[in-house]
Amino acid sequence: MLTEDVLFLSVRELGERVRARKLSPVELAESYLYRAEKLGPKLNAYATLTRDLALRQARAAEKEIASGHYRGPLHGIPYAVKDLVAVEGYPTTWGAPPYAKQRFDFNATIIERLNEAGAVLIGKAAMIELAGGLGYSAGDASLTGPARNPWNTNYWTCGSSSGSGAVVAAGLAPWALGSDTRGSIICPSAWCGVSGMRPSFGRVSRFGAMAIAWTMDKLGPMCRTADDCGLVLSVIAGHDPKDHDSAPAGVPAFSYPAAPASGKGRPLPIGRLTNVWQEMAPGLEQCVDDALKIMEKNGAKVSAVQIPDGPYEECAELTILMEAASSFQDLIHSGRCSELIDPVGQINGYASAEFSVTDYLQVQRVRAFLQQQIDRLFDEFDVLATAGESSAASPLSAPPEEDSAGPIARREPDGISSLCGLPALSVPCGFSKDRLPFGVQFIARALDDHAVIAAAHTYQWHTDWHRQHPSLS
Amino acid sequence: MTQPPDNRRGKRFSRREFSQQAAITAAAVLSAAPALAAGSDFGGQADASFKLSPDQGQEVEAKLGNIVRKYGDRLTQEQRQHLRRILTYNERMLAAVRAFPLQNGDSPASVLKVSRAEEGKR
Repeated sequence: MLTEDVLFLSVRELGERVRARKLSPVELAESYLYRAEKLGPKLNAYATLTRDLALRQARAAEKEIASGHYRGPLHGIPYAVKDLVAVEGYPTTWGAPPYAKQRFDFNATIIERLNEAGAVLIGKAAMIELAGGLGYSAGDASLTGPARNPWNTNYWTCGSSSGSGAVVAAGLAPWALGSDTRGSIICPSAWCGVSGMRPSFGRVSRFGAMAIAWTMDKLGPMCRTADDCGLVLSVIAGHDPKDHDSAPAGVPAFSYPAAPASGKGRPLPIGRLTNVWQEMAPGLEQCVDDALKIMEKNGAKVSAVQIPDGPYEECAELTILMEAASSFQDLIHSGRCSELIDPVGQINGYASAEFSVTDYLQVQRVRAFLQQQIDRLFDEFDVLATAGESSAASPLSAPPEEDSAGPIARREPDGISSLCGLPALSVPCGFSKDRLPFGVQFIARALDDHAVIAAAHTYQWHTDWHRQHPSLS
Repeated sequence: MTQPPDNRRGKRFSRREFSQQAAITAAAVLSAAPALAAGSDFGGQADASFKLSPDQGQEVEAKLGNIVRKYGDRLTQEQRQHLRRILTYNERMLAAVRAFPLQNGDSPASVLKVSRAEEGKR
């Protein structure tokens, strides 16, 4: 079996070795499968391992590469996919008891694209039930139990791409696919110390993936580096007529350079968001400051900027609640929502089904105005920067959150950027006093996915937080 | 009918105006309201932390009543209380959005995309 010094390499590094035939895709798949079988259950990281499929794909990749047919940077590279994406013939449980036996007889578009790229599917990553689509209050709201943070298994990974975060952080696959309706890639990436990207809305087809909120759902990569996110996105992005909200064919396709940039491009104007979090964990602000100082030393120009007033959080949450009531109307009306694990998920759909159509349209009309308001910020800045999340991971023993208590946090960056369909990328930038990862995130104008990758890649070019990984045995 | 892009808001939207309006709305939301749920069959008092205006409280109770009418046999008293808290929070969010000044031609963010046959069929 391959050792950790190989299994924690980036996709780019693994790909170079595979291409040069210094690394066998079959040995790579076997090693990740062994590690996933050994460590996965301790972390509740995987819902299903696809051993047979993985080995079949790895053998095919090895044979093709040996014959000189190299498909690209993901050829022969293992990955995991969040268990809300349809993989033909395998369970796709959406992390929820009512769908525990669900299977589809087709592949999601994203799986087809990864198959064409020669990628090797190791397994389906665990997730919060329905990706939190009907609400949840604690990390144990999952068919497979609470995902445990590889940095400290008494702590949570965040959700809803909880298994995807654990998989990458623990070296159970070199990258995993997550989904993000509002923060479900960014938060687990920050808490697990991995590099996770939410692409622009419409960049990646969601056909075959569970829907929560059609106007907010995105699929995206969780990797070791921002550069890897670019590589993966270059494979999975692109117009798909099967997804009504896919970016039109006329939108320039996302392509990514074959070699990483030098990290010394033109001065990058960065807006440091100063009014988005109500409070931040001790030490986190300093880590973000330090990260931006590194960016400044390497040519960026950092200026403070504030999010203008507006009901961003309200619009984001209401959009999700309203659209989820439609997405899951069968579950709600049938009463099978009572089979969900979380007490919020069991009843929240009843409340959401009471919204009026005029309220939905009011939210969407206000949303258009807020989109324009946020877009104007990017006339001055290429990217906005702030913490990936306002704290490090929370303990699994923490009491459940009561959504209805407390003031509405109106300007949380995930709400804003998700509402407006903006790309964001969180990368590790330090640790809390308890040695739990902190993240810094970059947010860019809609469809300017390269900007967040470039900013995060520049940061990682000059730091090594992304090279650190937890000790697991 | 939409207005031309350069004159979409004959009365240009002012953030200050919105802030003032939002503050008024918030004050209305936070003003002490009667115990709307007193004596109701739906599980006790309205959420004490964030009291609603009378109109908003009535909307919460109407929605809760509708849920109980349709699905009451599925819900415990504890769940009805929980639903009241959820509906109250939703009402607070709706208040801010409803207060946002819009004009007749302001379109929603999600609109119809025209479709062509060669785009493929699902």
